[in-house]
Order: sequence, then structure tokens, then C-alpha cells
Amino acid sequence: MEVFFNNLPYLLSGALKTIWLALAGVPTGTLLGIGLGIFSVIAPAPVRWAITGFVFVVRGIPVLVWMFLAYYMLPAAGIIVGDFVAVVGALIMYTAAFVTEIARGAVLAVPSGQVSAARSLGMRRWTMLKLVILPQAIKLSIPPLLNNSVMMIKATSYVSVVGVWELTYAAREVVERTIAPFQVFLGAMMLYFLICYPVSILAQRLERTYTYEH
Amino acid sequence: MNISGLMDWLGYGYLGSQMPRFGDGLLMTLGLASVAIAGAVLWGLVLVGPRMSRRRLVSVPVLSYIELVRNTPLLLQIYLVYFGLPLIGAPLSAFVCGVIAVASQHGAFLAEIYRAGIEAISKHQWEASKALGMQRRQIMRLVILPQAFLKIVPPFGNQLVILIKDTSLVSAIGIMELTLTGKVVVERSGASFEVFLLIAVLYLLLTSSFGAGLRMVENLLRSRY
Amino acid sequence: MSTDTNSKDPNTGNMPMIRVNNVKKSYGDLLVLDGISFDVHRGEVLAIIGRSGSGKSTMLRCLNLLEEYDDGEIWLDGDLIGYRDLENGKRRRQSESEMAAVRAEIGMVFQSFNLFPHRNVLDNVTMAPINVKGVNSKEAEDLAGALLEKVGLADKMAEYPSRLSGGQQQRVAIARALAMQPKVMLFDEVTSALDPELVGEVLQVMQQLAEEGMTMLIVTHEMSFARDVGTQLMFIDRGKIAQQGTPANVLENPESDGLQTFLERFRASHI
Repeated sequence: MEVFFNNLPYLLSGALKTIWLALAGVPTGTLLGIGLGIFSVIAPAPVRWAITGFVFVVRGIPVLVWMFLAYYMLPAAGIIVGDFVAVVGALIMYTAAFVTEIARGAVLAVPSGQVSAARSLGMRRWTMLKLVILPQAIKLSIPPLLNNSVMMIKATSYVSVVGVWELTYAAREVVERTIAPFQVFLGAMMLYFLICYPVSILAQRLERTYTYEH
Repeated sequence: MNISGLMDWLGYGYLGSQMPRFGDGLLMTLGLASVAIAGAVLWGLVLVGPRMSRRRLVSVPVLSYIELVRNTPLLLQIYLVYFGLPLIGAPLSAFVCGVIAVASQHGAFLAEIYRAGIEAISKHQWEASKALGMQRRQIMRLVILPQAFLKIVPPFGNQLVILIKDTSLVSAIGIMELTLTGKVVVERSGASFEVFLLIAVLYLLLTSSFGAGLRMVENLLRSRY
Repeated sequence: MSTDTNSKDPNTGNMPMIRVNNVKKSYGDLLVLDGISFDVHRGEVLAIIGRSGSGKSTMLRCLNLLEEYDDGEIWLDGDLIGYRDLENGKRRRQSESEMAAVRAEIGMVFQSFNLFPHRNVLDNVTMAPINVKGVNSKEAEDLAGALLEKVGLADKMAEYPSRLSGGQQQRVAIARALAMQPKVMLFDEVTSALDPELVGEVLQVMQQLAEEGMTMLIVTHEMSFARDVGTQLMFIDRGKIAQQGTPANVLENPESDGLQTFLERFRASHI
């Protein structure tokens, strides 16, 4: 295990970069997706179709290809951004597409009786949304959002294929230097595991409490 | 104007000549996906039995494997297989390594999907079957599994779509599937926009036709029962 | 303990079809059955009434070993079920396969029908005879056809359960249970989940079965049915038999305040 421990500082700074990438991409993408998801339910038809189209296209293409697209195309289009921003942009867009579906599903999952009750009490659209629908939708959406975040954290590893340095890139560098794939890759997997597993478990716990509530 | 027009023309011309390459890349993606899908479906079936076992000695290792695979990036798993196997005396080809890693991860996800399907079949079905004198194995075979199979079609199909997209990752170990083909052509021609647009469209066609097929199957099943 | 009030003719022989002796059952700390004893002779129809939580459903489910009873004995047609006596005077629980064999002799119909949604009506009725008793499919289909004819659903053989009304599904469930040619039929509140206008068709089938001499135990809320078709009525309260006798007797002369109140509330809510 010495190879792993010798290179641990290097890998840890890679992990830090991974966390940095995740923090840059996932919350922004999630917020964007929530907004789009809500609009996909209440906005006028052309907007709804545009959102549906967006989700369909973004989710139908691998995130790696989106990263390549951002990496190669933006400069070609004259938009000069760093590599980091390009891949984070792709990640934000990809996250948003998935979150749109999650948010939309959560809003639609609020029982229709709630809407009937709210309307019969005289509530108008925005009040009803704010006081009745959104609180319940948010609660329903937390487990899938957490699971989605795990998926996106794992996706940060793909930026290494495009050429951006983070934990996976660092791990591959170390392995190519030391020829100790088991130690280093398994060690890097452990680092990802330490980041992702708590989030997964939280999602599972929350999901369980919801099923028991009904 | 003339020069840029000429270059554009050259770019497109080059692109045109690369079409067979894209065809090969697409075929490689399809081939990889097909073999990996078969492997994942089977691997999930292998895992789900022990996963649901009441004996902790059996279920805990399987559960640990599943959680490990689900909470670590597929890319690292691919690297682990590709770089690790030769060292233990099994230098399998990149294609096989890619299939193993992809099937392994998605098999784990499918095992959880199978499990959820089985657990969702109401206790009442078990009771009615027991009341008729049926025993556990019969009940699973005749009553529970057929119903679970019907129930899981949507999440099962979704997982397979994700698998198709994940085949793009094996480009990292040099397999000439669609994504790597695209990257190589871009680097040689500089026509990044057209190339990646083409790649994107091809993937979109792949995933959307798979999705459409899935919906057809769902509708078929729903109308029958 | 059976007084002859109906045209049924209990078979010769003293051995009751079902004998329950001092059966007890607990769920953790909760004692659900507290020393229940009764007999049911061949051809008798025992109606069981009681509040929810009184233990009546649990008692029924102990009879076909869907629940395991903790103490006491249950005999089916002379054989002890649920346990095996050992030479040293003790006993052990029967194995899953032994219990499955017992269940093949007892038919049960559930409140929520529980038909197999992925198979059509005919398959629902033939599945158990073919797979549990090893009957060949031609024979099983013939039997199924006759039973479905009997419950009035011969024309629905190719349909799937989701297409049938509640009353129709329940009648299929009865045919399914009868296809195993059981010695006893258990009915667990089989009309409680049905719309009122569908109840009659199911009760009619049950009455016909009773007239043909089937031994039946019926947990029910249908008091008039209990009085007309039952040969015995049993009121279970808090895990014990509070009163037992002919239906007419019990319903007109409730002995306990519990039963009195139960009947009053019941009558009030059913007018």
C-alpha cells in the first residue's frame, strides 16, 4: 500500500479539485433545473415545448460528448473561456436537464386533491404554488436530487478524458508512473466513495421515511 | 472570402471522406453496447438472489460490491480493469475490459431494480399463492417473477439508455467507438463543430430510438393486462 | 355442538372436520388469540363475527397455517396441523412443504380477491391444480370450466382480472379455491371490499356451496346471510369466544354487553 500512501497528497489535491468541480457545477445546475422544471409545468405551451426539447436533447447525448463540445466548440465560436469553465458549463447544463425532470415529476406528484383544496379556499396561482405545492414538491424531490448529485459527482471524473486535471486524471498519472493500478485506482475509488456514499445513504434514509409516512 | 471558402470546402470534403470512419465508430458503439447490455442483464440476475438472501453472510458482500460500484466513477472502474488485469496475468483486449467494467456497474444497478420490482409485488399475492398450497419456488416462478418483470420495464429501460451513453467512456482506453472517432477526426481536420454535431446527432438517434422502442413495449404490456 | 336447523346433513362419524383446542397466538407482547376452542363438523357453516382487531381473521389464517399459532392444537379431519408430535412428547413446527400440503386441502378466499393479474381467468383457476397437485392441463381445464360455469363466469375464461368487476373477481377467486377440491373453505370478509350491489352475486355462490354440503368458515359482517346460511354463529371478542350457538339464538339473545353493543352499532349503521 505504500505507493498509495506516498502519492496520497497528490491524489488528495486531485480530490479537492473534484470537489471544487462538483461544487461549481451541481448546485448551479440543480437550481437551474428546478426553475426549468417548475416552468415546464406552469409556463405557456411554446416555453414548455422548448424545455421538453432541451431535456430530450441534453439527456440523449453522453455528458462526455457535451464536454468535448464545450471544450472544442466554444473557442471555435469565439467564446474564449478556460477549460475549467467549459467543462463546468457542460456539467451545469447536463445536471439541469436531469433536475428538470426530477422537479417536474415532484410537482406533478403532489396529489391533485391539494390543488382542489387550495383553490376552494380561494388561493390564487402563485400563493398556491408557494404555500401548498412547492413545499410538498421539494420534500418529494430531495432523495432523487441527492441521487442525481452523486451521479454528477461521478461525472466530474470524465473531465479527465477531455484533459482537465482532477482526481481521476491524477490517479492515471500516478499509475502510469508507478505501475500499481490496484493500489492507486482502488485508493482513488475509495476517495470518491467517501464523498459519494454519505450522500447516497442520506437519500436512502430519507426515501425510507417517506414510504413509512403514508 | 475565397480562402475561407476553400478551407470550408476542404473541411467538408475531409469530413465526407471520413464517413466510413464514423460508420465504424457507430458500429463499435452498437457492438459494445449490445454485449454490455447482455452482460449487465445477466450479471444483475446473478446478483439479485444473494442480494435478497436473508443470510447476512451472503447478502452483505453483495451489497458492499453494489454500493462500491454505484458510488465510484465508471471511468475509474474501466481503468482498474484495463490496467489491472494484465498485471494478474489476464491481458484481455480493451474491448473486453470495457465490456466487463460497463456490464459490472450496470449489472449492479439492474440488480437493485430487479429487487425493487420483486419487493413491490404485494404480500397479498404471496398469501393467495400459499393458500393454494404452492411453495416458495413455485410462487416465485409462477406468480412473483412474471409480475415483477412487467413492473420494472421503465426503470430497466432507462438504465439501458444510460448504459448506451456510458459506452462513450471506453474511448479513454483507446476503443474506436463513436466518441473517440469524433475526437480523432476533429484533431485531424479542425472541423470540430460539424464533427461533434454529427456525433451528437448519432447518439441522440441511438438513445431516442431505444427509448421509443421501450415505450412501445410498455404500451404493449399495459394494453394486454 | 351442532344443532340441525338447515337441510344440511352432517356426515356420519363423530370426528369433526375441524377441531380447535385452546389455541393461543401472540404478536410480540400482544395476545391476539387467548385460548380458542371449537369444532366444525362436516357440512357445517360456521359464521364468525366480531370487531376489527378481535382476532377473527387471525383465527381463520391460523387454520390454513398462513399464520403460525403458538399454543394449543388444530386438527383437520383427524390430523394435527401446524406441528408434528415427537416421540419424546414434545412437538416441532411443520416444515414449509408440510404446511403447503395442508394448505392444498383448505381453500381460502380473501377480502382483496388477490387474483393473479398477469394470467387470465382460466389460468388463475388451473394454475394450482396443475402445479401443486400435478393434474394434467386437460383435466384441470375441464374442472375449471365446470367451476367457472358454476359461479356464472364461464364466458369470462379468457379475460384478465383487471377487466372484471369486484364481484366477478371474487367469484373467480372462489372458483380458484374450489379447483383444489378442498375439504374446507375459509372466507375472510369476502364481501367487505365490494360495492353493495355486487355483494349479492357472491353471497349467492356461497349459499349454493353451503347447500351442496361444503364445510365452511365465514368471517363476515353480513348478519342476515349468517342467520340464513350459517349453522353456527360465533362472536369473538378480544381473542376469546364470547358466545357461540345457532345464529338465531345468538343474534336474538346476546349474552355480553360487548355483543349487545356490537349488534346495536351494527344495526344502526346498516339501516
